[in-house]
Amino acid sequence: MNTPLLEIKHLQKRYPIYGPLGKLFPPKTHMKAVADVSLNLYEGETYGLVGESGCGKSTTGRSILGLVKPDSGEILYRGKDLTKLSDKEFRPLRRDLQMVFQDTLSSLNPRSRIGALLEEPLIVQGMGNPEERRQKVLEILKMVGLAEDHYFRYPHELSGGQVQRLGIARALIINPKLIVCDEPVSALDVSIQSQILNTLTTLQKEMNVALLFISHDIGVVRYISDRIGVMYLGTLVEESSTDELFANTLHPYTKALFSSIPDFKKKEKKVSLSGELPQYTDEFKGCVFHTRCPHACDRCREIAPVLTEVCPGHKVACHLINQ
Amino acid sequence: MSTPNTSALSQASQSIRKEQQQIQRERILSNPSLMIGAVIFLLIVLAALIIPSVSSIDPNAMVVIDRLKPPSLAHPFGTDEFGRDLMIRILYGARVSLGVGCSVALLSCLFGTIIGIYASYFKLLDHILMRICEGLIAIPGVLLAIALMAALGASSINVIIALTIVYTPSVARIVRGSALVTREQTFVEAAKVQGASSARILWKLILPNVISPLTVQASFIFAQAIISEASLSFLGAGIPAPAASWGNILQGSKQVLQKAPWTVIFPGLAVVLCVLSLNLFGDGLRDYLDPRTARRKK
Repeated sequence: MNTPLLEIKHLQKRYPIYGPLGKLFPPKTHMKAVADVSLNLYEGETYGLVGESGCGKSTTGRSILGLVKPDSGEILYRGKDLTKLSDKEFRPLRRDLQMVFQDTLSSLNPRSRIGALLEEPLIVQGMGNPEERRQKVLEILKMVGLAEDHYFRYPHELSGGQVQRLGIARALIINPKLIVCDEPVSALDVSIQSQILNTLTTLQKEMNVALLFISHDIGVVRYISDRIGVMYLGTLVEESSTDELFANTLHPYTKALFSSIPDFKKKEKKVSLSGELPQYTDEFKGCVFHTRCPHACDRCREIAPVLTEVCPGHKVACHLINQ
Repeated sequence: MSTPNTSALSQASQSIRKEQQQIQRERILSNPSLMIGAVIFLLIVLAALIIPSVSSIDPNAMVVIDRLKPPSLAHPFGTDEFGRDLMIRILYGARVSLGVGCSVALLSCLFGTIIGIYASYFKLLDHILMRICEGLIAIPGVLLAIALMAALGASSINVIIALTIVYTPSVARIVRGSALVTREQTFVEAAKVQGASSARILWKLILPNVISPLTVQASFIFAQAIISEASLSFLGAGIPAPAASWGNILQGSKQVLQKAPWTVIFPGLAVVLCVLSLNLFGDGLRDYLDPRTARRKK
């Protein structure tokens, strides 16, 4: 656990907001989707990225795979900055970096049979001859819990859970080192969710893949992750190992997030947030959470706190705690 | 281990294929416009191909005493002002008109697809190509064709070239439109993540999704090209006489319209029937390829 597999350093992605005359004039301001995210992923671990809708967790995941071009920051993989690679230079590295999409069905070519769909990554990466590829496809079908006779079916003929298994199979088939899972189980009902998660974790152990698990569902993230990063408004506000985070929650946003988990045993008062998400434009000052934070002080409104390590492996970005 | 596995797989594949073929057959048979259009059009094509080669009548042989004979057993469609058998001329004309229509449809779809797909994928190219296409679309089609024919000279190859230039831009725009829609879909993104090259994404993922609107468009262009060729020939800017085409048969007949109406009726009927069948076929094809429109109609 010493050298990270993938390092994200000060990642930023902004989208321009134009005035009433559109692109004739330079943009009025920028909306920050990802403001400043730095995180490390280690081999074989599961990193859960939680946060509410629109907080930039998907953008972070997608920029690892070059689907979003970040404005600044670095993503280091094997000493190479992924954000600076051309499509061609990126291509061999894609063997190691894969993705499972949220809406898996639409990420599968509707005109391809499942066999062909699973073979596609192997062909693209130039792996094996047709016979070896077919063996590999059958093997992976079995591993993710699909049957061999799915080989000639079309993806729309499968159920939601099966489609998700197929998405996982497609990501795993070329033995990647890291899979970005963008809300892989959000569309499924709870009983299927746990089956899929179990399959995913079993295969992860077997193949020693690191997962960047993006989800808004804290329960799921807690179940699957070794470490968790909590994002709010394009910023990583707290990061820690799963057990430490739940035992010793520090950031007020994380506390509010956790208290939203229904729990029958605890009699504690729930922390509920009021107010709306602010517009995170260039002009925004201070801590991202100060508009909704129950403990916000003057300092929070002026200066943005930096993510600092408070105890080993536990980082938090909050003035109240960092003092 | 591979042999039993492969045979089991091919067996499964066969049974699934059979099932799908059955469904396809039912869908084609339950689509009347597709069937009627296809049958009429095929009859025209077969007649144009078979009858002239079987019969011994020369389409250009003039028999002066038989001038402007009304339809009879010897001349089912009558004769024209030079005493040539009208039926044989129409059938020879069909070869020319269908040949031109078919070549124009194929060529404009070919070039339109290439232009449209590249335009959808490369932004700078898109701006350049689409401005050129818009410029060409802005000029009325027949006018542009006449201007091109004036520059190129009258011959059937030049008719094909001129009409291809007229119809390619609209195909390019249709292809570009549906390619842009396809491009935004997640499965194209997924292919990028897998490391597929641009060429692979363009031809293996985007092209198949563009084909269905394209085939429909091709059948309409076929019909339009037949009309355009007839108009060009009628105006004297198309296929030069004495070779028969539907357009120049009509042109020759316009002076004797009152004396011998059959010289206009039959070639006119040929154009109408052919265009109608192609349009019916195109409509049926669209319903067939896009099941949503078919359902809405019922």
